[in-house]
Amino acid sequence: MGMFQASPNDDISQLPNVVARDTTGSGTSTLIRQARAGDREAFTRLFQCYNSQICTYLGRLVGNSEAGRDLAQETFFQAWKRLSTLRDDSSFQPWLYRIATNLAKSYLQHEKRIFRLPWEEQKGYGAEMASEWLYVAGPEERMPESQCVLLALARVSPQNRICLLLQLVAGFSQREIATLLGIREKSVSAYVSRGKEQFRLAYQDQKGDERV
Amino acid sequence: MKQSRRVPCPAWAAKLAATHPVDLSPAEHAVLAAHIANCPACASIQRTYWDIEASLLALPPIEPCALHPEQLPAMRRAEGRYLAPFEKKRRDLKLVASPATIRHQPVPHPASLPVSRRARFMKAISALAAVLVVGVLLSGFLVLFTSYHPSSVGSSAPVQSNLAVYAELGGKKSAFYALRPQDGSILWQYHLPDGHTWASGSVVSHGVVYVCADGSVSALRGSDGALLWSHRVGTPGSPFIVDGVLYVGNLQGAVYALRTSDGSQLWRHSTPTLDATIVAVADGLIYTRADGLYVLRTSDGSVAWHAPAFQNVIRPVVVTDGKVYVSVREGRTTAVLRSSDGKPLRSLPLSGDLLAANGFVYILGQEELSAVRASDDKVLWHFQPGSGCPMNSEFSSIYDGTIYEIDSQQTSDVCAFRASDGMLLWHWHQPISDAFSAAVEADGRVYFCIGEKLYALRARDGSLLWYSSWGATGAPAPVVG
Repeated sequence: MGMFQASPNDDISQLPNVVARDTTGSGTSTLIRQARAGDREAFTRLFQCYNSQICTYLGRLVGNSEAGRDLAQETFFQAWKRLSTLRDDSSFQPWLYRIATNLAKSYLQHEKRIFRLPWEEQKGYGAEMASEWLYVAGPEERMPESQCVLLALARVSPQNRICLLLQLVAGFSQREIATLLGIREKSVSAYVSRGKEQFRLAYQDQKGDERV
Repeated sequence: MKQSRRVPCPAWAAKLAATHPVDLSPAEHAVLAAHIANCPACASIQRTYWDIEASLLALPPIEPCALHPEQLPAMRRAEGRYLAPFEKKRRDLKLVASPATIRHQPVPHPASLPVSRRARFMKAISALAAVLVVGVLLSGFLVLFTSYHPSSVGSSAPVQSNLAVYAELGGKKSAFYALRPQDGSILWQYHLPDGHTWASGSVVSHGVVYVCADGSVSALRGSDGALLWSHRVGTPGSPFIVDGVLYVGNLQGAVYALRTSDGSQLWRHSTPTLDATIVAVADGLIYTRADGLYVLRTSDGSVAWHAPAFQNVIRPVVVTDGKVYVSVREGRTTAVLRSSDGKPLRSLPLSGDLLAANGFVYILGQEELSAVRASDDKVLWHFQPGSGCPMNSEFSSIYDGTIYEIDSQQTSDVCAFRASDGMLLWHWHQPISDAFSAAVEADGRVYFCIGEKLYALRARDGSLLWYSSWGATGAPAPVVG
């Protein structure tokens, strides 16, 4: 675990165990309205509902679970500070993802500038972002499916990866992604399309199998 | 023997990837299904998409940290720091070196950390690698000088020796290049920091090029690329220069005004949201997309007005004749606001890319180009360019009476339209698809990037003058000055 510790008052076992959108049900608007009015309890409920999916999204995006947790913390901290600026309750989830995405972009920029990994840890483009899954004992050993997927994802270029994960992991439509990122729908379509192709080709490279 | 890789049909790649239920209309779904039934390659790729997406979604979710965000400042204070997560990493480097002194020490550059013998060995390896990189770069120069220049001889375009094309190019090792506009040969290059990933734009003014990348604005002398000054500005958006002042917003919610002569900061304004990207600067006002349309005064950074109704403003916002034109995505309309106070004046039943020049606003919709007279917002004409010409691609530009629209999502197309009546002047087409930039016209030439290439076309007829290949993709728009 990183710098943060679980609070004994928070029951993480109640968090949703699947990555899907719209996990909060019909009471979301009420919770958001209450949270905007400064109700800490309401914000805690929102935090508990969205924490897992934001954390997973960020972890996949930056290729590092630990950094994903830290960035998720920062996302909710920023959301708590700026909740009063949210104009439309229905846009809470895209707004949250927008904060998360901006933080992840900043993280990736700084991480790439600051880190100088030892040479033996660098296994190609994007490898530094997936270093926790990198080690493979030898060519005779089959890489687990999950590692193939994560390594392939790390090789998708950042902008394409953002759009891809917003579509696949967060479940947004291309129009919603365009609104969220402030770009045109056609651009999102292109980013998703290229991202999927990069993902597919990288995955095939990992598997070493043309059939996939 | 390994078979060649399958690729999706270019015309269907975007639709194949649109897997959200509402991304395609029922009619589009039906047409796609008909294509899939007759195209084994696309059918195979679609199945692969489904498989790997299922694998991605089957991964266990990352277990989150349950610390309530409200407790975050206290936790960080207790640890003697208040830093964003990416900055925390830098502190972690210090921890390795000297745990006893970290908490109240300024952050050293990683290069200044004590090095072990192993690290010294790695340095030696790095030096050897650097020599190899130099060799590769020299080879690259040879390749560049052999780039395609079909009509560099006999070109009728006027030549001004004081101009240069500036572009950020390169793959993992990005560099900012100044190129000779006649043939694309290199005048100088400025290397961006290792690992630099996003460039957010550049601008040229009075022989100096200002590059926004990697957390800074850097001023480079146009003649030789010498660094004049650099100013940290967080994660910057596109810069704008007006009357000797550079304005840039960042993804941390701040807007900066810097004096172009020395980079000194005139003012800084913190907006209430995280994205303070500037979308236009005109008539003494700075338009940012912070929490709607958030407008600051150029003089002191104070808030002139704020229109939160315009959430998720996309570029470009155009300002002309004392009015602001904003494309409203949901309503497929263009809102017209009074620039002095943001008061809504009217709504035009058109939307798309917006351009403004000489008292006219041009709206590049999905299928047609429209011209609106700014004085009375009357639509003067519509023009439907027909198939093949891209419209509403996000990358449009206008120079000296010519509108350029570029798209490279399925094939690469650049179209030039006469701004006076929308007539198509020429259409340049290549059967390639890749990331692309907006087109820039200067000195009788049109410059743009598609994929790994920077192209120069003759502005008069769209004929190819030269291109240079750089081994990079997604390069931002070049600038000329």
